[in-house]
Amino acid sequence: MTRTLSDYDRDGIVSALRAGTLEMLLGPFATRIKGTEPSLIDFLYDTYRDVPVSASLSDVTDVAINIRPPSWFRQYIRRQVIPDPGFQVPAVPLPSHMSPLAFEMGVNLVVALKCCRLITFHAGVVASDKGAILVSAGSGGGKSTLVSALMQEGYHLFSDEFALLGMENALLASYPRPVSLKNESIDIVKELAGKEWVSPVLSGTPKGKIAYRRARPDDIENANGKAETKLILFPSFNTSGEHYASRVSSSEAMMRLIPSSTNYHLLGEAAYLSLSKMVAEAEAYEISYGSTEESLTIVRDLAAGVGL
Amino acid sequence: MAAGPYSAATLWLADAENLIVDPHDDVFLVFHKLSGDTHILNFLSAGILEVLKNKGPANFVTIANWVWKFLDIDENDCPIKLIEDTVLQLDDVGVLYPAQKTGH
Repeated sequence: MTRTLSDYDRDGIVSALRAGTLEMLLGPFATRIKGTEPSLIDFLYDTYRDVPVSASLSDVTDVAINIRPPSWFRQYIRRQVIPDPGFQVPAVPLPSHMSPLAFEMGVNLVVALKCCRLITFHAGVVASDKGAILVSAGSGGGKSTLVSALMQEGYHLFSDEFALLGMENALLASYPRPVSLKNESIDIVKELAGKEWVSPVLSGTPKGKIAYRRARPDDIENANGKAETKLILFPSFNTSGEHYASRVSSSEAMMRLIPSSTNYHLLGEAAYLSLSKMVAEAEAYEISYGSTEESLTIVRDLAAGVGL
Repeated sequence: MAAGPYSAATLWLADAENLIVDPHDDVFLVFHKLSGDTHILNFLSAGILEVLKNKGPANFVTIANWVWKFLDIDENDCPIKLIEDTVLQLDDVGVLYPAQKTGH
């Protein structure tokens, strides 16, 4: 029987984290986690409470992350942490209380650099049983806020950070890790979802204020779900000027999505064919809006138009 | 700009086996299997690629004649200089190449 993280007592989790044998089983990835920072343990207990975990390792782990001090010295004096994925990466040391950020950034980095079974795009995804909405935006484009708002509309969270596209079937895979919220979006999502669904705020990070919107138990139960993409959105948040939804051609949608992938070139022809199929089966729009409510009005119309 | 030296007599080839060309609305997407690059081409670039894929190596003048016929246009619509420049751009991104590079 699968046990969630909250089924374990704290000593069991602490012991497994210390030994580096805590394994999180979520969507397509088994993630091995090591660390001793109390802030990391608190974060996992809160934000990943409903996620299946094991205190011992299975045969294959896809992702490994060790949240550790950057040096012996920094575990005692002005304590710091870095995410160590087991290979050399540029990682800025963070104060130890920012272990949750180091963890999330580290896991994102490993998935982005090491995933070869699925095509990864930097995008958020929500889905219903009728299909998925893929939200592709650069930093500050409102992706996570829109994803969170669509969760409140009844969509499952598939992913906030990665659209994971299967190469055989051109279906998106669910990977419902917490939604990363920055600055103003934190209060917006607290208002939408309820503050109990948002982690404590980390202030003074390199990205400003950060908090995480927890995936719901039914999002996690659906973590092996797959969905056909019906709608591709390229949102931009714009408090002044025109607000609109403008159709994007299939060729332009592809050319916009390709640069957001970390492994498209690596995977070659199979990635091209799968992305072509996904885009051919979906409608793509650029949307511009000045408020979350406005974005929802636009997306509701577009979603209805594609049968969602 | 070309990727290397060339002359008016240079025969140009399309890497047909390694190209996937898909029409999308009024443009074409071209995936190059060897580089992993995806290119977006207009009808002229795609037309040049298509005639070279189907008819084999040719110099600028022959390519121009083939393209005018294939696209049902003439030199007034599409001067040979434009076709030359487009061939060189396609060479630069690697989907065309001079035949002598591979011994043809």
